[in-house]
Amino acid sequence: MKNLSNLFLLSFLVISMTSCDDDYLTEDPTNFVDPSALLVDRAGAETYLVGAYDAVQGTISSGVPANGSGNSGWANHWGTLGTDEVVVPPWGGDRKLIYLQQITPTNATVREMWENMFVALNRVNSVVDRIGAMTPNQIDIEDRDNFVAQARFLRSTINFALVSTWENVPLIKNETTSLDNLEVSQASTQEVYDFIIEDLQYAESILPAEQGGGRATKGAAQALLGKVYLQMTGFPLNQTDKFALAGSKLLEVINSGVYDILPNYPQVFELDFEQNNEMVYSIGMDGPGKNEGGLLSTFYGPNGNVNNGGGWGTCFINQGFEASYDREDIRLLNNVAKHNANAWSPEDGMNNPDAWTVNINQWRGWKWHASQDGAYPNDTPFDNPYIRYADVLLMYAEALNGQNMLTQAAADMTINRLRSRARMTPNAVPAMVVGSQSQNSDEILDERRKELCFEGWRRNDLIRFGKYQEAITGITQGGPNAGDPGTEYQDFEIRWPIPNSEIQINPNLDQNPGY
Amino acid sequence: MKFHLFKNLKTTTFAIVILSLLCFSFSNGQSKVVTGNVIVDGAPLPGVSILVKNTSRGIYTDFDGNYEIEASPTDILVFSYIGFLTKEVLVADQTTINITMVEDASSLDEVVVIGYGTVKRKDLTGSVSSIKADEIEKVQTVSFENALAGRATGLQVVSSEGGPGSSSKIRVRGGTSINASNDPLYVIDGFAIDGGAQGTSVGIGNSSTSPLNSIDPSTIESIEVLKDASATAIYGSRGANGVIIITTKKGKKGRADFNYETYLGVSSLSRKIDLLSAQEFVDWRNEFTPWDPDDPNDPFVGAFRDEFGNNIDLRDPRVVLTDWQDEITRDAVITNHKLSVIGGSDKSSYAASFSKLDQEGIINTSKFERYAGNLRIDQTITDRLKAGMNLNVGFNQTGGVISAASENANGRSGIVTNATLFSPVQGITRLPGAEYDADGRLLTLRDGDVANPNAILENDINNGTAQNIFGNVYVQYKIADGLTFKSSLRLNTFGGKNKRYFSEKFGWGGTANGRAFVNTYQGRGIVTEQNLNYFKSFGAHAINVTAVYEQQATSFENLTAAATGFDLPNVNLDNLASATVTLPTQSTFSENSLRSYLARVQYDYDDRFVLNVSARYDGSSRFADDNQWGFFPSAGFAWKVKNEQFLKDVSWLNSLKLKVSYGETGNTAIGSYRSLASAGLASSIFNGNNITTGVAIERLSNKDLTWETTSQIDTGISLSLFNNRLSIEADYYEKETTDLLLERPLPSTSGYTTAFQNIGALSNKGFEFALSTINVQSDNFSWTSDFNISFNENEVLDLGGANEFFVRAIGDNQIQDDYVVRVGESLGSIFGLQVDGVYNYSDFPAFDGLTNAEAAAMIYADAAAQGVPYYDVVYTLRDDVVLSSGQPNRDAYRPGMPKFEDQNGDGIINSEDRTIIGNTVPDHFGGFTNNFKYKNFDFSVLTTWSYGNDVYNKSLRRGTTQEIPYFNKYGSVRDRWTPDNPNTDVPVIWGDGDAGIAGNAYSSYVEDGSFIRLANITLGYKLSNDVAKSIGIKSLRLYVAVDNLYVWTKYSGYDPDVSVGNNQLTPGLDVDSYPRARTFRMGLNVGF
Repeated sequence: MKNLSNLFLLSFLVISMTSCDDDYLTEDPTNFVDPSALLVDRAGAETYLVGAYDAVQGTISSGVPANGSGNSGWANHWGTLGTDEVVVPPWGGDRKLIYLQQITPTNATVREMWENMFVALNRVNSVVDRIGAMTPNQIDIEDRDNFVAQARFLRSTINFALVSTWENVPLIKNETTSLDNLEVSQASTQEVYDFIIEDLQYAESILPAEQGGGRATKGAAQALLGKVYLQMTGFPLNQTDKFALAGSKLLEVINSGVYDILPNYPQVFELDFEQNNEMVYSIGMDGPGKNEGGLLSTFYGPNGNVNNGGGWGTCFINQGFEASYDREDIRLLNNVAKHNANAWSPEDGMNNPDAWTVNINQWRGWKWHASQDGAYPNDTPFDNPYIRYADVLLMYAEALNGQNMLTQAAADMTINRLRSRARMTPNAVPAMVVGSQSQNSDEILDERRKELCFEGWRRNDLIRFGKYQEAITGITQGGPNAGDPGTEYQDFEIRWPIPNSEIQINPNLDQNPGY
Repeated sequence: MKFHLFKNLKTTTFAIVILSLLCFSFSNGQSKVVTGNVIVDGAPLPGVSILVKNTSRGIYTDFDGNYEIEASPTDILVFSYIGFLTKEVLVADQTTINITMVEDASSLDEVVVIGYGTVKRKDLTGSVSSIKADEIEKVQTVSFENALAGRATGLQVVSSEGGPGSSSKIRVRGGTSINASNDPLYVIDGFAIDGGAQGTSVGIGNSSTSPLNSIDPSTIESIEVLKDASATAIYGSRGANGVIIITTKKGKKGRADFNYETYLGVSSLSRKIDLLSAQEFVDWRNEFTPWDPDDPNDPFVGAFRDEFGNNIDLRDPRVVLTDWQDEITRDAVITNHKLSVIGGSDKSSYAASFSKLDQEGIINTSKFERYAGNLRIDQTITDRLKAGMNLNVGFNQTGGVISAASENANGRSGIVTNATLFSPVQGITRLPGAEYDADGRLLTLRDGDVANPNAILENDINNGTAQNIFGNVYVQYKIADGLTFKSSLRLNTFGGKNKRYFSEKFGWGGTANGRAFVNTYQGRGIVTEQNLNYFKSFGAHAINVTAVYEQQATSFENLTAAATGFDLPNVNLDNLASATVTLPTQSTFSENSLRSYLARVQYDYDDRFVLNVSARYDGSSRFADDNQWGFFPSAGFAWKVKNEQFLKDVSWLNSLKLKVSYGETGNTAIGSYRSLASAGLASSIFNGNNITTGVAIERLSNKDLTWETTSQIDTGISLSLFNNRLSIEADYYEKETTDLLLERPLPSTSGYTTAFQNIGALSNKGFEFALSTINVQSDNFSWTSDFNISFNENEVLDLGGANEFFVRAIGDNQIQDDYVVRVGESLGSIFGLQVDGVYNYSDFPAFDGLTNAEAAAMIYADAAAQGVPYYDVVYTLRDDVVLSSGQPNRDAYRPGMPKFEDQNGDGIINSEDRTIIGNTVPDHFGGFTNNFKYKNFDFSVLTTWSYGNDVYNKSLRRGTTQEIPYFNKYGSVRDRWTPDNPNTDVPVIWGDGDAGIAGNAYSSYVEDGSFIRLANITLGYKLSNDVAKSIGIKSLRLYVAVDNLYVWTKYSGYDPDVSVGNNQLTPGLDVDSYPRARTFRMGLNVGF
């Protein structure tokens, strides 16, 4: 009997340590959340809304590799590469193919950008849908509408990028909630633009007029609406009646009194002046080491070690672009690097001609000047300007000129304000004198490149002005063995191909013509 | 031929123990007392079982080998001991019976651990390889994995990055999964731990260690490798990749047996990588930038020249020459000490040991130290009750530098890349883009891209500690005859800390004034097992039933802190608060649980047929409610043909067994929480620099997920011939894994690019053959051989509709996809552009009709006329020759540029011309061991090989590129294309830069990884027992050994036995791997 009691004692000890409750096989994760558990009050909604900003941060900007969203930001890959701002050397990988107009439906960057944008779109749709469905006892209706309006602004930036880049894209209006019926078809270009306009008009009607510090505002919605209308005047819609709509919307921004240009051009891109009054909407970034960094100042940056404030050296300045500047245009000094960051400080690199020892083929684009101390390779803190007030001024001039209504007074208030800011000596950078509509148009386009280079709008600008082919055919030199893109270009390449991988798993998608 | 006392009866040693313990007090009326002594090799053998045949009376020899038993003259005494031939002796009129036991070479009587029980090898229906303590002890390897290499069929052991304390990749009959783990399940004294290698990297390293490396291999009693489903199905949802059961030593009846073991070894670099010599590098460098008399100040020109343009004389005292491979390596010392005691009485037994290993790595400053202790106690409390516990404790410490780095550029490379690329010459002039220290020593090149290896060794820190504890207690109760209940509780805790510091003095660390990373991790597991065993024989039938309830809960957590900017000298890792910038702290936690019911029935008829049926019912927390539970059955059948009447009298045939098995196993080794919807952290920045926390949807819930299922059929034969002089085991198997957990690609318009689903299938088929022979056996001399060879074919059958997907290997960050998983191919296919030599004279109309010499003269003349180096003169390519997308202009080509094969025939080479350029799966691999024994000397030679596998030597990407002037190059660059050396496939200077296709792997980085290795040679001498006794000890063995004496291979890296990184989809990758050592050791084992 004693043996038996021993046995029971020992067995009891062992068995008592065996957890027999029913939850034994139930997972209870503590390192992520279920959205439905979050969206029960205002604070949860706000947190969820920030996720929509994050989605745009990684895709529409110049890219956020630290977030794992890949090195394929829309602003640089679509907006700058493959234009006449930069040239790409042989080691540029996919960037070189974009530059040389050798994009195929299997191009990895094209695929990655497509994927990232639709992932971002779904996140934003999720915010619109789920916050929009919250009830008054969870959140004040005013707050709810404000959040939804911000998200709809963000959604329009994604849809605008999609339709600009691929032209024929599916129009996804809601969050995906099941794995069924995923084989969507493309919408017409007009339908996509209409949806963008609808989102922006809603945002404009709800959001407050202010500099948002990186958040969507009334001004941002109006400025983007103006930009979207302008884009509709060019290829492929060619709706010139939109000049008037653009003009009046942009004038509202100008008249709002919220924005102004900074007196000093380089200051606009300094770390200490992020979210200044010139920023109508600028995408927030910070770094290094915060998983919130961007690529400005490494994607474009001077020669030298990235850790010393140098750039990667995967794109170089188009020499024709450099030559287009007046020599005493401050924007030339700010936007083109002719020095080596290992040897020279950013101040010397910009202002000290002794620093300009780098061979002409090694000149680089350079707008956001990383300082040598505490440099931040591949993980830079610079906010990415999306729409600047300078852009609003230039767009307004363009809208007027499109209606053949550009007066000298209007030019002075817009283009010439920017030129006067750029002028380093009294006789430098002559003011624009209004001429014929097409002369004005050329001048405005040229001014846009000088002022807005590397901010991601060049390709849309060239397409809208009908000058894309002319511009890339004009590149005949520059960079180390960069090659000449013009010889390869064909008309259909004005838009990008739908990624092959997408067409393979969704037979309802049609490839863009030519590819 | 053996005698089987417990014919149809014995399945476990345990049964013998119980029966003999309980029954020896019964006596027979006509009996007398028989005494005697049992010896082996002249030494007494304690613990030999002596049974009176056909009774249950028995006894064991004491520690001096003596016994005493009551028996009648007609009784037959049966002497048996594990690993020895059983002897039967008729008592007749003898009162003293002395026995010499003989080792059983065929080992058919050996007991094999099969999970939740044991079985005799002769009764096995499954495919199980065993490695026993004496094999492990004789060779005395540092790691458990090394003890396995080349020893068992179907078991492939490949080193990872190769440094001291690093892990190996182990595959049992090929990988069965793509996304879930391919590592076998390890069961240590009944404790199952998932997977093998654990990544231990923080910062940029890519090292991995095995959770098993805290175990001292010499404490292992046996390692069993369970390969087919009949053996592994008892592990159910975790058995698909095979099971490796490790059993540590336990006590033996007998006098306390003290042992002291030690060895001392010296390791050195076994092979060097062929690099350009200092002079060759200078010649290359000066050819790269020809002397320009008009620009004497250009520092590029001055690099290795004097002010007159003459090449510098390397004997110039101002020139510093360094062979970096010699500089960073050393003769490394390894020492090991172990003290153990084993003993026991009739009622209790114990084993305890403590060991300390101190291993220096052959790269200066790298090291591995291990402290391991274990204790095992078994106690028989009453006739029916038995209890025991064991405890294995390991602590280890690694140190040194990072070898395999995940990025391998921008100053973030491992030491080997730095040593191969760093300039072997420091010239007279200072280089642009280089850093120098206060003494003028060259610190980094090319803006910090590579650093002086000595500076790295002196200043960077890479330390880690890890501890691992396994504990186990059990009670066992005999409920009735043949019915036993055993309850076990097992605990495993492990944890560790890794610290990396990148010095503030130079390179990557220098740009942030020092970078520090600290990582700690901790995991635990608790298992409870309730095991009921019933064993019964009647007539010709015997049945053994095991039923088990088990549950296991595990958790893992991880915390990483990082900071940069350290201003106080030598204060960094151990005071992160002193940093000027603190980077975000990261943490994770996950847990999962498994609840299981399992049963096994073994039925044996007449010692001729064995049927083994098992089933396990597993519930896993990793899946949603409706898919949590899975059923994993198996059946195995063995026919012991030799025991049939018609073969009874065939004397040359000692045993013949045919077996066949089928079963299903699973694989749940995916991350926790994969079936749940999740919104992940998605913060953003407002007002310039305010981080605001956000979340965003990132995964749909997926309640359909379930385990991968592997069904396997195995047929085998084992036979032994000619008095067991020749033993053969052969197995053929086919396994197919279905419901593979794959990321099914979704239209990304859905917002998700993939969804994890049970789709896809892959298969492994193979043949295994093992041959053991006793070539010579005489009193003084014996020679035995063990040969094994394995063939495995792996094929991806289905990827859920997709045809392929790509995988990026670590290393050079320019190459995008270097491996492909493709339907119809095996896992581990290397993907890239097939190199087709170089463009040569015949590809250019300009050289038509010219001899090579004339063509060369023309290039030199054109170069002189244009005022450029010969490699900058371009010509027009023939119209029918393929173009490289790296150089789209046909008129800008030159001979010596790399040329690629146009796979799609469109006339232009781009990334669409990528194809499979190598396969890392060997055609066959195996081992060949020869053991010799002459008097007191023993001598063994272990040879291992692998044949037909490719290695992806990604280090060649940077090691052979000829665009970067500052870096030394691999030796193959010697044979580069020049106008005078056109008959070569090695591109010209700047060739890759001008016509290479960036972002792709080239077939020139793929090398044949076949090898034959003289893995170990050991010569031992054992003091004869008389002599030992005379000096007051029990035994003494001295030995000398060499590990990795020689490797026959064509591979150009350090060693073709390599697989860097933790990604199972990029096997056979070599980038920046740790150099392999050759080790000479001498050792001593003393028993008291």
